[in-house]
Amino acid sequence: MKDRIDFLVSPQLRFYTAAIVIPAFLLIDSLLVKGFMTVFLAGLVIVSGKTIRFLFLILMISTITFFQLLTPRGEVLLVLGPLIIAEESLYAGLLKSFTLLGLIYLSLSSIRKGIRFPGFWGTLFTGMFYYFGLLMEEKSKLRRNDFIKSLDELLTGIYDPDKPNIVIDEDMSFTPSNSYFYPSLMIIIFWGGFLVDLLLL
Amino acid sequence: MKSLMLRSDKHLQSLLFLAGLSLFLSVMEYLIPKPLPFMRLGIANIPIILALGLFSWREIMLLVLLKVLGQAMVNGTLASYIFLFSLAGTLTSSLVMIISWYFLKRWISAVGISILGAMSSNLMQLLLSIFLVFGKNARYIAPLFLVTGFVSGFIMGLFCNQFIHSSVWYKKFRQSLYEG
Repeated sequence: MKDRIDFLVSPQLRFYTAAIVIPAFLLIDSLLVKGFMTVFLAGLVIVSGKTIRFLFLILMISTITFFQLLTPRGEVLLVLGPLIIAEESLYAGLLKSFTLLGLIYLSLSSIRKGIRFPGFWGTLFTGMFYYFGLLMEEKSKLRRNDFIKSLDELLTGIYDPDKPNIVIDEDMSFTPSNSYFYPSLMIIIFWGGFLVDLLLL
Repeated sequence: MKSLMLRSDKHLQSLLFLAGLSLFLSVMEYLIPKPLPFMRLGIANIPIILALGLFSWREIMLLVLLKVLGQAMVNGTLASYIFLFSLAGTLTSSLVMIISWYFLKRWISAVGISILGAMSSNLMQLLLSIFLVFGKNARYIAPLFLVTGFVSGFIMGLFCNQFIHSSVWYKKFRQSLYEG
């Protein structure tokens, strides 16, 4: 699916925007605000052209919450056999789940193809993703019933250490962004949400 | 950093290739049949085992860092606890594998090194899960977690062993790096 917001912001600025809003997201203690943020981030993932795996989402929320419920704290809401569902434990479990999911969605929507980092580390990442891309293009050559042999053939066709594919170049420049609308909006939403949580809730 | 950590451009290229291979294998893991559907074999760690003896410990740790960061970017877990788990587990297992290689390589094969790596990774991740996510109740999953770690380490080690002995590509790769 197509990324519908890549025209708004460069890959680098998108990445740095995520880094700026993460502290605000982590500092939010209100389940309502965090839940809203997580839903917003899920929407951002979809708009970015990626898919949400609902089974993973349900598994994550239920597993983390379940382990919190094993130590009941607060008013008892429900008893299901040996499992006691207490208010504070349930709140803590859901808050942790939303925090984890929100961070995953933020990463998914922020790391885009074409992202470049400056300097030596930027070169390393570019080289690594270059070879990853080459391997992914040939992944159909892998055979489940003969995995080792097919992997060997695939590697032979792609990389010969005596004839390296790419030139290591430390000069990796940034792609300038055309607009600061996206980072401004994200900062307002996340840091605004943090202020709402801090002052009103 | 470049001059301290990498002996030649060929070494750098080969290291970057192994890092890319790590990412690729992490995506392809679904192709490998597993005894339990939710089990992770960790075949993304195979390039790290392949790198033992060919690169210095600093170069291998650089490979590990690239692998963890790259996987986090590809899977979308860079800004989450999962990244922390992955980083801690992989760093721990890699250090254990490097130490095992240096001191025990005469007595154990890739299978033993892989088991040691997998167990140490799972142990570190278990400790993190107790402190960060699940609380002390995570100890209930400890036995299952450690047993699956042993099994996955064993299976991956067998795979590695078979690959090292039968791969034409790896023989050439190793020869080329030995020549410098």
